[in-house]
Amino acid sequence: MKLILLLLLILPLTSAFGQKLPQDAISTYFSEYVDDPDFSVVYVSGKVFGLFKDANLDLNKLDEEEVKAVFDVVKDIQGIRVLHTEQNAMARWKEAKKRIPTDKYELLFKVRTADGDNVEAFIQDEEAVISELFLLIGAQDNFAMLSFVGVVDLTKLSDLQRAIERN
Amino acid sequence: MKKLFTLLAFVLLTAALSAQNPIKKFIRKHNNGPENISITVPGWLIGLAGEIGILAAEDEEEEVIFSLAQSLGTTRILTFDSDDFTTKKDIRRLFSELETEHNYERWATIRAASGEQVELTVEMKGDVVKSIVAFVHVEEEHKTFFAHARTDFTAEELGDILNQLMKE
Repeated sequence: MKLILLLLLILPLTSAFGQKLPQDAISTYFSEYVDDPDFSVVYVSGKVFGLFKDANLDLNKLDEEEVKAVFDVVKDIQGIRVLHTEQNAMARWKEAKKRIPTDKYELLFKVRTADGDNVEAFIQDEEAVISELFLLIGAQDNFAMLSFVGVVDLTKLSDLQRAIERN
Repeated sequence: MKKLFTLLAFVLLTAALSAQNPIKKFIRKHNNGPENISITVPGWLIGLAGEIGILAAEDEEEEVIFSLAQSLGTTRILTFDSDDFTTKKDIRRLFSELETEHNYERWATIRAASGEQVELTVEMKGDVVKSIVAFVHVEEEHKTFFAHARTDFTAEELGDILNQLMKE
């Protein structure tokens, strides 16, 4: 009897712990602003990209090689997140820089113009395979954050670049 | 001992039943209002309409759409005036309940700063899409469109249909 009662107590606890997923700083930042009316928000799950992968799309207007290269790059994408606002853009940029632990990423490139516009691209990678590509854009009237989570093979990126260049 | 088990079974059953219907609860709450419309179409009727549609279809694209419709089970559609309710909060609560307690997973969220919003969440069992919940909020017209459909197709089948539609 005691055992049954103990089991009944433990079961809901284990299911509650099972549902708690770890979140990185970007996910936290994203979920904080997902309902902010100042922001435009886009989230697309990797499953949606999976649909197009399974579809074996035949896009007549695009070159077959180019289409294949695009789907090779995005086939293992687990999700895309985009946040964009035109309100208090520079303040948002400074806040994001302060809160997101960009030091845990590798800086891919950084651009700053004389007008004070900023673009920074970061990656997390393991042996030429990017697990996350993360872009931060901060200008006087624009703030945007783009995060691509999933496996992006750098060699596939260069295949895509070659396919585009050929056309 | 028997009584205790009966009581436990009763409590668990009622808890399960009440948790099973967050969508029905949502529809029941939001279909009140003079211009709010709620429609439930049974799966067999959609299947029948799909079959007739395929027979009457004039091109391949229509046939594909009707064959996709045949995979739909009971479908609930609701439109309501967004201003009648705390719509955004209610939607957030429903999606959160579905995704934390009923194994739904978010497929897409798109919201423009102007207020237009699209949300799509899906329940999958293995490779099979069992249920789809979608909502579209049009800020300018103060209207919200909500749909829930029971389905029985795999992501691969849906991909094939997309493929055929893109070929047209």
